[in-house]
Amino acid sequence: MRRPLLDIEGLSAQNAAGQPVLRRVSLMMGPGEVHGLVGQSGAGKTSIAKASLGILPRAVTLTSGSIRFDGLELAGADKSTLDTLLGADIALIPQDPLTALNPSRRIGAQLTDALRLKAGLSRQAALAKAASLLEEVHLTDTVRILRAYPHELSGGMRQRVLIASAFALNPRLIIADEPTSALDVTVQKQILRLIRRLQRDHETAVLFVTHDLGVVAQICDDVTVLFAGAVVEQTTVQSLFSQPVHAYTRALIAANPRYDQPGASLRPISEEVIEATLKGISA
Amino acid sequence: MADLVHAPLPGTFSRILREPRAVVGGLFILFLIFCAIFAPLIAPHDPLEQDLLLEKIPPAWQNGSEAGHLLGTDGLGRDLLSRLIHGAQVSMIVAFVAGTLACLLGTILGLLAGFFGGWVDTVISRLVDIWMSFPPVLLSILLVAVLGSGLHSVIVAIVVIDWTRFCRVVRTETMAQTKLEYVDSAVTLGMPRARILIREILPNVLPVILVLLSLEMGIAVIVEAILSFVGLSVSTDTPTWGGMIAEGRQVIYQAWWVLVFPLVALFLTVLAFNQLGDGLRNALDPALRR
Repeated sequence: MRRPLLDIEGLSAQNAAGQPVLRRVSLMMGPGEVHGLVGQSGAGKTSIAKASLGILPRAVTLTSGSIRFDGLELAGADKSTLDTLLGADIALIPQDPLTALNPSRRIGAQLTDALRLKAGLSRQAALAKAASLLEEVHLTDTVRILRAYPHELSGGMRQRVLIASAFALNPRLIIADEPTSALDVTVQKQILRLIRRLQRDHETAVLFVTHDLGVVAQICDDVTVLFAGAVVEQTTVQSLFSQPVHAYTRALIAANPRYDQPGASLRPISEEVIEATLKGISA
Repeated sequence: MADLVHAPLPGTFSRILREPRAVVGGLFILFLIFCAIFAPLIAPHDPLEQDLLLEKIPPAWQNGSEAGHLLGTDGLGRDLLSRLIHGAQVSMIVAFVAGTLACLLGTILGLLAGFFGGWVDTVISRLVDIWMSFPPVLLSILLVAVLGSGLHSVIVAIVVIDWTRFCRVVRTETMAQTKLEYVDSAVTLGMPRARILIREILPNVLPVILVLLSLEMGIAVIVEAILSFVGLSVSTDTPTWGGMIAEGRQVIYQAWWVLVFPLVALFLTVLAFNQLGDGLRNALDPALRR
């Protein structure tokens, strides 16, 4: 493998009560790869994403391990190191397009933040660049959108704005924290395609956090399955669906609703599987 | 959570204008400000001019009234309407100066506590807890007694006591805003913390601050009246509503109007500030708006 772009090794974290949030998580991504991070709620997906961005909530602390971006240590890095990387080399596509844009600032102002702060563009140049970014995410009528406030746009449009903002400085890594969970299914599909296309065009690596295996199948190259803060299975997308190794992964795949079997009842992950998995983790 | 996010937006001003309570309250306060500024021009008499031949003249619609004294005169024959108009000066100065300063102090501390959390929050929150456990009226009387009476002392007393109202609410609101993803997004752009606090978070906390400020001005007017009533505010040769109430109390059985008119002025003023605050809340509060 080439030199990894993002190399997380033995990362452990705990919350304020001392309970483990992450247990020795390791994960490696090459440049331009799309890596899925799947698991149920509380599995630690978002914690990994936030740790990589240095925005872990105060209550969660890293206890051991490392996060290296292109060889540079991010875990415990000082603010100035992070500030130079963030936005320029690593960007975030946030989870909820409704809260991820500041309601009291125009889209134009928010979309030009990175361009002006990091690339040092003038207001005019940044706005022109912002307009072209909007076109790249298939938002026409850019003049109106740049002048609009977030509440004047639909959820799908806002998510497109956020995607445009993430790609603004052509980062090498984008961390997408469940970017489609807050959207309805039809919009979800378009947004996924958009991220996929931009990712290919810009050769950007994407760490894609999701609880939706269907999304993983559409967009990812490799997958890490998490459970209770630990890596359960790590493999390519093809082998995840064709030959899942771990019982938990199999149960997770089986739990997905099947559109080809209408009326079939959902199959929740059984207690036995969960207990066995927990036992395997703490061992 | 989603409701928290829709704060001050374009069209805010026209939305306020569509709130009858905000408009009525606001107009009354504008009227008071006008009276305060142009008091010497509007007032029919010198508020200090005594005329012992015309003492305790009843208001114009009562028997025994005297032309030129619309609301009658007090125990020393001073014109009540003129005194009320001049009394608006102290009330308005205290409302705006003390209200604004308390707002500034409380807002700054509340923003810092809510945004930075940790020990900053602990120190500021404990300070607020201790502060609020003092009975406010006693504390204000004590403060003015120590500082000496006068307008400055009254203002200092109100600021020192009432900043906690702003601090608590602004802290909570800032905390709620800080948890929203747009702040994470700003952090991940490497935006400086101070800029995030002022440019990103403050505008979203501002509606709450405005509502509180309006309510606080009403409270400041009352506190000033209380201090005037007990003689701890400005000297007695400056007319104040609280001072007039104190004088009216002594002649209540002979001349009810001396007590009632300043009370009504005080009541209407506080009511106007509260109505303005409620109206602003309706116009600016996202939860009620949607």
